Amino acid sequence: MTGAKGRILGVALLLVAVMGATTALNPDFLGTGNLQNILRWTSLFGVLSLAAALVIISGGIDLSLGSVAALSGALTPWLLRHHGFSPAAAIAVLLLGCTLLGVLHGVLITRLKLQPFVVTLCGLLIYRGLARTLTGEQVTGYGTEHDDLRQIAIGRWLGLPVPSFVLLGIALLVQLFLSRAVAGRWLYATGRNPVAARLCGVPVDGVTTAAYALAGLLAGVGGVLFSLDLNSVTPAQFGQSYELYAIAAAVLGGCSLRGGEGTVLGVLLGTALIRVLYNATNLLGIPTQLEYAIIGGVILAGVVSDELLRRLRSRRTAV
Amino acid sequence: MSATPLLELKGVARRFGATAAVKPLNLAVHAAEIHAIVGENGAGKSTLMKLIAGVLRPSAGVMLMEGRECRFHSRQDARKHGIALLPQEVEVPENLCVADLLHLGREQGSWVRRVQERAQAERALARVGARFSPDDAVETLSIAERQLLLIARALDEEARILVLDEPTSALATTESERLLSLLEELRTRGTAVLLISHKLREVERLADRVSVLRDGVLVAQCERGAFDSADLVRAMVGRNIEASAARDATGRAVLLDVCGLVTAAWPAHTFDGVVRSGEIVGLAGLVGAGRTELLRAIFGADIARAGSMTFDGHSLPAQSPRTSVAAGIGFLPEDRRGEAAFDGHSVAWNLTASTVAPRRGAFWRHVGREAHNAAEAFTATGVRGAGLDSAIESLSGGNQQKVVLGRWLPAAPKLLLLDEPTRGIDVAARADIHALLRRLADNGTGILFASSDMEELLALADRVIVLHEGRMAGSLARANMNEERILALATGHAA
Repeated sequence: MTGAKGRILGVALLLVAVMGATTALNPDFLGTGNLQNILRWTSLFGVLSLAAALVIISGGIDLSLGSVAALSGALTPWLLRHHGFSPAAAIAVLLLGCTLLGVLHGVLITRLKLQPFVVTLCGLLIYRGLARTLTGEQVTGYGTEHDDLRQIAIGRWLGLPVPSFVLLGIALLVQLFLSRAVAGRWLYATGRNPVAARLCGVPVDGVTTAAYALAGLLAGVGGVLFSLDLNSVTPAQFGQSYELYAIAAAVLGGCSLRGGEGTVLGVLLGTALIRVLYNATNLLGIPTQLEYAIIGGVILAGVVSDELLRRLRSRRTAV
Repeated sequence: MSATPLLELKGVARRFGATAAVKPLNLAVHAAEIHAIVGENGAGKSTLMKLIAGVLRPSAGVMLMEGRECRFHSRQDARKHGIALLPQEVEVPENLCVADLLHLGREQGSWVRRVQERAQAERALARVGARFSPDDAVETLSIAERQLLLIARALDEEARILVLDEPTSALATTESERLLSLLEELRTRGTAVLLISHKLREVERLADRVSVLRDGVLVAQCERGAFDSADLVRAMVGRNIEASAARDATGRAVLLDVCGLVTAAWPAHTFDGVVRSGEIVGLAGLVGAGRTELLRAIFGADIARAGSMTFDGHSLPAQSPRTSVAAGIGFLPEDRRGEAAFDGHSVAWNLTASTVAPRRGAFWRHVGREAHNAAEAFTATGVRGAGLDSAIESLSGGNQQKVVLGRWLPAAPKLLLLDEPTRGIDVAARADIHALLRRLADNGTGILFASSDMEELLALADRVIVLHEGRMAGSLARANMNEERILALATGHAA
């Protein structure tokens, strides 16, 4: 991965610059409460970003992540409170279900050769509808009986939000998978050149399906965490357009939509940058209507500068 | 013919960097004449055609159209002068309909005039005897029909010289026959046809004049009746290539035994053959003879229609590259950039791409062994001018080829299937690769390689299997191997 380090450095610098600028304009940015808040939200969104990154590295795209998260997020309290599931059973069932949805995407993409964009776009629509229908369009929550469980999302440990430890654990596992597991390297190979990977003996269909399955699993985890955090899930809106944040964070963090590129650290930094930008618009009194425009503008500036640097470098090596 | 030629080349030459693809030559093309250009792969035929059709510009010399000097700056430019090129592989936007394609890029004004275009298309199609309608989608047409369509378009643009690059190489016999008759008919109507062909029977039948190219030089020119196929083959070869030291693998164990293999490309022909361990077998044939398809079917990259294979004493259910790799077979595809190299990744990464799993079914990589394997393969292949950490795309073509070949070394394959192992790479890298392959064979690896390069076949192969239009035209042991025999079999000239 030749350009990966430069990309990570670039996002890190951008993150520091945005944080510095925001602090200069409003010192409240560095308040403990605010930083805790950013860290917690970065952690929750980070899980989805890693899900998006795995699929993007495999050379695909997953638009269904937000709806899968909505399905697991809305159905967790629904199973707990309306169907008497124990927390462990409810979460196990839902995570298994989300993984299977990912497998389904993978099978449709590899066996029927459908386009990932189309398959997961249909997923986005279908799972949203399922979440709304199953819960009867009711706002669901955990009430007060499950405060222990909710500590996973809202609690603190060593002075830091618990979700940041959850994300750290997941990120380490994904990192270990990508850098040390056979299938991790196969994932990069498949994403970069599926034909060559196949001729090298890589089971490209299985690798692709595994990427969607892991993404489904992580989206499920993210959905559960989000719902524990919010304690009030509106099935029609919960997790809406989160897949776009996740894809944006992955791309900002160095995942190329051409596939075969991307690092865990870059994706985490990308997620953090998006959360910081969101936080800054609030703190600086920038109208919230502009929030999307600002995030979009920064991402665009990031990828444009990356591409320009790449061209500059290749021109220099060509001479 | 004493009249001023339609097109005349005087001292036209073309260099690519240091190599001269076409050396200064004179050539005249007359109206109402079929002029065939023959020569081996790499003799400069395609370059010459591209010069005539304006795709390339000559490095030296002049071209005269009816006695007037002209320079073509593009293919469109040549078209305006009445020269139309029909390339070997017909690439057209398949989603359009026939009438659209006939007018694509030469519409009158900003609006499409359906009615006029359709009427004009009907006339154009009638002129070439096409049996499809202007409303048909191009994607429903066969290759032969697409060629007709392009010829119709060329004639509609009032082309006076048709340049065809191996037009029948992808056609079945009846389709070829129809195309050849059309060419004969066009000749009677005054069109000049420049025909590149490897099929000497076609040339014998059609050509009023034949020019033979060898290594970029026009070595012979003869008129109808003054030549036969044997003369042409002799003129095309014209040199002796020394074979390297003989290796004898006849007594060795049979490694791969292919029985009745049928590829999707040539469903009418079966292939039978063996490769022994330590034997280097060459697959010769013209472009489109089915060599790539055969290698891919053996490896399992494409599904074979029928047939069975025994590999290393076991029956090989080779239906996927994965199982073949596990059985101990390596494959080097023809298209390095598209099908072998992982751009953006390092040389070390690329060298170990086939051996990521230390054992079958292993979950974890063995990073230490990977580094060791990469270093060994790097040394064995003799990659120059780069390190293990260099990105593969920064290497020269020859060194990239060494890397994508070298990725099989850590797997210690029993059989290597190589498709054009040294095409388009420099002489030094080629010698390195040949030496590497001989070393591997000396250590017992069986090698089956397809090559369009006569020198490579003669230098490397212990035995050559020659394919002609999907069928095995013959097999030559080292002692009987020479360029003339291979070419005769490959062109379908010898029985």
